[in-house]
Amino acid sequence: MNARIDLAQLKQRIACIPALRPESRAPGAVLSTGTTAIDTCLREAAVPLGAVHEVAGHAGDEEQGSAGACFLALSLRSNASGWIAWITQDADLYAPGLAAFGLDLRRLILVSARRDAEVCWALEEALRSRSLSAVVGEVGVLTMNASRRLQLAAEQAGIPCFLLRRWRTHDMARQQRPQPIAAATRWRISPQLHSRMPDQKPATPPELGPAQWRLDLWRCRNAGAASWIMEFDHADGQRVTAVPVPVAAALADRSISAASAAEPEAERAAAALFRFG
Amino acid sequence: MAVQVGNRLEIGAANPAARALGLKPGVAVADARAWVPQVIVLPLDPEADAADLERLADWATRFSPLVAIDGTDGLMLDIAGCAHLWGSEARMLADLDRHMRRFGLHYRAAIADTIGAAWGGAHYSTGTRQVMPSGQQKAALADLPPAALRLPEELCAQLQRLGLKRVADLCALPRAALARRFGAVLMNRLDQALGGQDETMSPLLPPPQCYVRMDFAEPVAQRAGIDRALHLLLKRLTEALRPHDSGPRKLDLSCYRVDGETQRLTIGTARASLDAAHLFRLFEEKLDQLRPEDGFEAMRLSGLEMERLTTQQHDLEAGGAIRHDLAPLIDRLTNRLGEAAVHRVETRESHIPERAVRRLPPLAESPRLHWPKASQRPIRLLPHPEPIEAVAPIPDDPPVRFRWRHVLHKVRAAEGPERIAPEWWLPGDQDAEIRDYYRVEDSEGRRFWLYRAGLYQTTAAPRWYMHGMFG
Repeated sequence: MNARIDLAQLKQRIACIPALRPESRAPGAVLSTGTTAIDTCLREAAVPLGAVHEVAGHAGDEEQGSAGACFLALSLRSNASGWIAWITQDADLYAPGLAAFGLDLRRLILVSARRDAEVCWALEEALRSRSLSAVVGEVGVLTMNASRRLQLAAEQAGIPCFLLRRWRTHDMARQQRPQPIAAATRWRISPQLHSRMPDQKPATPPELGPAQWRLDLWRCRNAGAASWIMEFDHADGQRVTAVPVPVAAALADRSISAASAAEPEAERAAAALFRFG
Repeated sequence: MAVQVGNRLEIGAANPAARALGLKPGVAVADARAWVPQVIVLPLDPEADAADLERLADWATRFSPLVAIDGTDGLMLDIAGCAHLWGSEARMLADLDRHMRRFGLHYRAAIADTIGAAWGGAHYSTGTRQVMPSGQQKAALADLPPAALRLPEELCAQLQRLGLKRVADLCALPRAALARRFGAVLMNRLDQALGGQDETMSPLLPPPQCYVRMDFAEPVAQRAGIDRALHLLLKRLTEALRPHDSGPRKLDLSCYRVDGETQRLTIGTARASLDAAHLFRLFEEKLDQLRPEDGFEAMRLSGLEMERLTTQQHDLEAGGAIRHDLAPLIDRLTNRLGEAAVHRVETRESHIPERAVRRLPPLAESPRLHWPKASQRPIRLLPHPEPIEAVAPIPDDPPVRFRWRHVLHKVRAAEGPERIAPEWWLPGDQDAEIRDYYRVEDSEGRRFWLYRAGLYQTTAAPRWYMHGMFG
């Protein structure tokens, strides 16, 4: 069987599906993160706001998803003007920490569920209620069907459905991370070593600088993969900046199976190649 | 039914056939076997009996919402305003009889104006079923023994010795003499039975403020039928309440099964609601829990916790969003996930991280927000601080490395300490320790919130804890 012809046929068929044609999509509601560099990219790709957006942690943060929570707290500022439902399974989300990223706690409704399935159910209910402006769900195992249902509900509601992936073990993370799901964007975020840090060993550890993350747009419907270094200064509570990482382009076209195996190495290579600041 | 008393086996309860043969409670099982060789002796199980009585009480709510358990073998129902649903009190009693026969239960029942008269009638009258005409308690009780007045045993024996064998004999005596001779108990009980003194009962379930019920000609077992009945009940309840401008915060659906079991479903709402479609959706989630088996013969829908209906409120803080619109979603979530699962937060003036956040009900008025802005707080806070192995070279320094959940972290950068003292003026905090918090970054760039418990001591190794994660 000729894979190339199959691919061409597939592309043709996909082009016929009306919902996926860029021109048929309602203009206006586009996902934004509050940083110019990333938002330009998202605007060009016309990433719809009303869709599933997945955020997953990296490098030891798979379990806590704390970097992802920071990123979500930042993006909710610019994507949600009304009520927000945040559905969790572990009672460890800390409100003062969220507020430090400029999220208005008065608009936040916290929901605790016991299982992944319950999180998905609650997300769907929240999306269908039409009384919220964004929903966030912390979910581990997610089936393709469950994500499709959420994607449909988010499309109809026209509000973002953020999935913050949290995996209990590294094995689970390794197995679940590359699984395909229905999502408009799939982000990977990991803490970034502060680049202003001198490498020599001082007598006492140096001070922490502003928080930095490496943010990868791993899958995006109308765009290739891209990476940024994102910085947020707690002292200056409003400012968040992002600088694109050039090397990620070379890593953009990885197949899923290769990506899952080569990810840690590729990540390290990218970090080594890139010296920021 | 046999019961062990001391080291002999006695009859604890007997059916009418056995009692007719003289096998009364208190007779030794050995004697009973000698008199009537074919007697069947079973062990008495008071706990199972009590459980069965409770189930029967549950079932009896089909007659009236006010049901109380009386002693170990009786039920009390307040049927004021309920009997007309059956046509008359006698027909209600006939319906009870039909059910009791089907359950195979021996029973005695009486309907009267007062609790005392009904009790006496049920326990001591000659017939098994009796409706005492209103206001005729004195005549109805006249021929019954004084024990029918719910008197203590010694008092009954005393009256018996004096030849006062009927209630009528007591009534014939002057009140003052009775009271002096036998005390206030007798007078109270007499007045309660005859209606001179009010008596209240304490029902098992709180009385609903409003309810609607529906009896089915044929038992309903199919889901479609149950759905339809619930639709109608909700419609009737909401229509009845609309003119009063109030609605229930809680609804209870009781389904009475043909075999006498009662099944209940309860839903709650964040705001009083008369939206029948919304209320139906809340019930819909739970209807699968019903086990109709052979079908339900009646259903009752009660509204509890009435509240005034509020008009829609515009909440300007939430970007003009209408908070009222949230209520249906919150109801759906709480009904499936539990009351405590949905909440909002407010921050309080406390430096203790766990205490700085307080849960609020989801539709609470605007929460107050206050937190120490100057100091950074993590985005994740562990519900319980977890002990870690940490190595810190100098007393007041952050650790250079630590092990948490089996993973070794090397500290690359750190800030601190931020000293947080316990709130010693609070009762639980007198023995709490000072915590020195550090923000540290490991070699992967992850940032943690650690603390050392207590002041540094030369004698004991310092104890370190992991408390939270920054991004």
